[in-house]
Amino acid sequence: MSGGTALTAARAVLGRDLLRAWRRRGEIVQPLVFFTITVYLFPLAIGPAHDTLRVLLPSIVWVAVLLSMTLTLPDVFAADHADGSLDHLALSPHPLALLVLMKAGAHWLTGAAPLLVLGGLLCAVFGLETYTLRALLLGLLLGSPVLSLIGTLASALTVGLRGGTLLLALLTLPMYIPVLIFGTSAARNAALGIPVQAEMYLLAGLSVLALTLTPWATAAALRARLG
Amino acid sequence: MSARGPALRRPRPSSPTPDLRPATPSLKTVTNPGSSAPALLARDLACMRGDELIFDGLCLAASAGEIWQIVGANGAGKTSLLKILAGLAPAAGGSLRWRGVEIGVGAEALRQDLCYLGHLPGITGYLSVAENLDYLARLSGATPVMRPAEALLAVGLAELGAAPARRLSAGQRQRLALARFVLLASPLWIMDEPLTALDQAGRELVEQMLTDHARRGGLAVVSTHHPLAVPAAHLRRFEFGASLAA
Amino acid sequence: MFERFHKFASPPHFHAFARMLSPWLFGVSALLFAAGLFGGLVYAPADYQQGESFRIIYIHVPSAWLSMFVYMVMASAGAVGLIWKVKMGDIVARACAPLGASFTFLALATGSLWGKPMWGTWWVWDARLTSELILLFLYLGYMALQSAIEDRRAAARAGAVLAIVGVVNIPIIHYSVEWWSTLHQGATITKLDRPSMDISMLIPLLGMTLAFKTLFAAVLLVRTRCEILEFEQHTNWVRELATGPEVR
Repeated sequence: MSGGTALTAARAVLGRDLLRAWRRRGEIVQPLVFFTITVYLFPLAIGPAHDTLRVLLPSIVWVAVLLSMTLTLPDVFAADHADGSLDHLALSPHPLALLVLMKAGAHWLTGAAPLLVLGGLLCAVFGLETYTLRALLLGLLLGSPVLSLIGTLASALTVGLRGGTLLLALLTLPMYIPVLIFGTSAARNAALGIPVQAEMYLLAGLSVLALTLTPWATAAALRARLG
Repeated sequence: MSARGPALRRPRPSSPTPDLRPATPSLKTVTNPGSSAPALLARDLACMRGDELIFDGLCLAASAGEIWQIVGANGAGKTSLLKILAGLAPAAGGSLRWRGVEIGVGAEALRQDLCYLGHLPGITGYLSVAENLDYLARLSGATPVMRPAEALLAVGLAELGAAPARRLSAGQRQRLALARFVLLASPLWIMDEPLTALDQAGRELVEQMLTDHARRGGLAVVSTHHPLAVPAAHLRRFEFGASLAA
Repeated sequence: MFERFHKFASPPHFHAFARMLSPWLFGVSALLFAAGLFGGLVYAPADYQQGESFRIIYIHVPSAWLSMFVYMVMASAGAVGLIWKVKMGDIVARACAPLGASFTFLALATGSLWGKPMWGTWWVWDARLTSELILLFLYLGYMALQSAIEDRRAAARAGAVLAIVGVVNIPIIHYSVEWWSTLHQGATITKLDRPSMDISMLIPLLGMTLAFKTLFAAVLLVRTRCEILEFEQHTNWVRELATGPEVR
């Protein structure tokens, strides 16, 4: 083993999170079940008006994605906090921002990406037309990094707190609102045949902004909470 | 184990009468007689936990080849002190230097040289023993001086390399946490209650590790209630709330 | 000269200074409120389009401006506390939050009351109202986070991170009327252009803004004094304050 560059440490963090998720894959399914149930609640609530459902479906999927994310986000740091390995993250000589970025990436891969796939499947099952479905999925793809990144920040702020999950939801959902607005607007415009480049660019821009700024904020939040 | 003189506490300008002030322990300052500049130098460290002042005016000067044993009553602030020395928690006042560089600005230099053991061993349950060791080693940025299997052998976990860490007993987890110290050649060891859950063989292992570490010129700061059977030449004691030696 | 400002970073000095200054600020604020309300309710002529109902502008606009201003004060104070480790920064930031939340709520409520006669609706989902609502949630989240963390200093640091991240919202609120087509009217007062409002209406508006600002400053000083006492409750000067000077 070599002396360890920052990339080695980053890969170690990412690999460990992915490995841990794989070994707990039974538990990873639970947010997906929650997501499916949430989406299914709406047709039950709306009733047999199928047209209404098809119009609302992309928005329902977006909201369900946001809510499911708030359930998976506490785990980004909670397990590490419980077994004491969070200290080791902070004690690493490598940039904490980079390590934290890897944790957000692991969350995206294990928490967000499956939701995207499942959301697409559910929409196809419900008979959403292709153009809208594509806009929905592309919007989710471009916007979900923001969700993971901001969520990781909020997870770092609320790690180990009593009632932390609820507080995390209160912190993240307002910050998710711009992403929600652009994503659903893209899907609605696609259904009407209006071009959606503007929303896609905005979502991509938000993702880049979050990618640039949130790792440092999350590192600062972790050090603030650990001290 | 030399103590030099009474506590060095600077008189505060708004010095209160003793009744009003919260019970601040009187602290001994021990400096290293003789040798060169201390590697770890803490001056007037203050620590707050929540709104409470835990300790104030703490001074510590530690050099290579020393094993510092921190003793004190429960709640005296041993864990808080170790966290401050490790750079995990900010001190409420005072300065801390590692090899001349101020921590807070130069924390990276400290982290490069540090191996830390906290209350919780930092073991990930869903990873195997070997994977845990590998992860922590890669995270620490230090170069291992032996192969991981050898480190596990040294701490008595040789056959458990592939076992999932959550099946380990408390003592075995502690040994796994110690394996990291054996594996990496970190100059500074900070250990909070390293003898927890260890059997007699485990305790002797820790004492041997500390002795070897000190002989190689490393510095260790250890908080423990148990007596440490290490050579007296290397051992220094730091007592919280002790009355001054007459 | 710099030393004079340095003194205010010390909680006991700030405490004494705030105690001295806040009654004056309350007085000035009361005068400005009286002048502003008179100017706004009596002196300013009725709007040719909206009649008398436009007068709620004299509460709505200053509170909206203050909601953003207070957030910037909160984020700046938090940054000072986080980066330079100045305790007063943490204390002031924590003191600001409920005030900012109140101004935001007042802006939203008065805007809602104004919207009903003017637009025919209590609420509309345009960019400015939505981002102002997000601002309210940010304030509430900040307060919730601070109260959830028991260690006040750690809470202040975590809150500062949250506040700094949320600063992104402020330009969105401000420029939303330019970037998106919206029901909300455009900016009335810009730095470089002549204001689009008649001077007889503008003066009371500026007067009310000053009134709100001084009221904010006065209440902030009072709240900061309370927060100082809570942050420093275990120090000697606070104990002496509470129990009276020690008889020697």
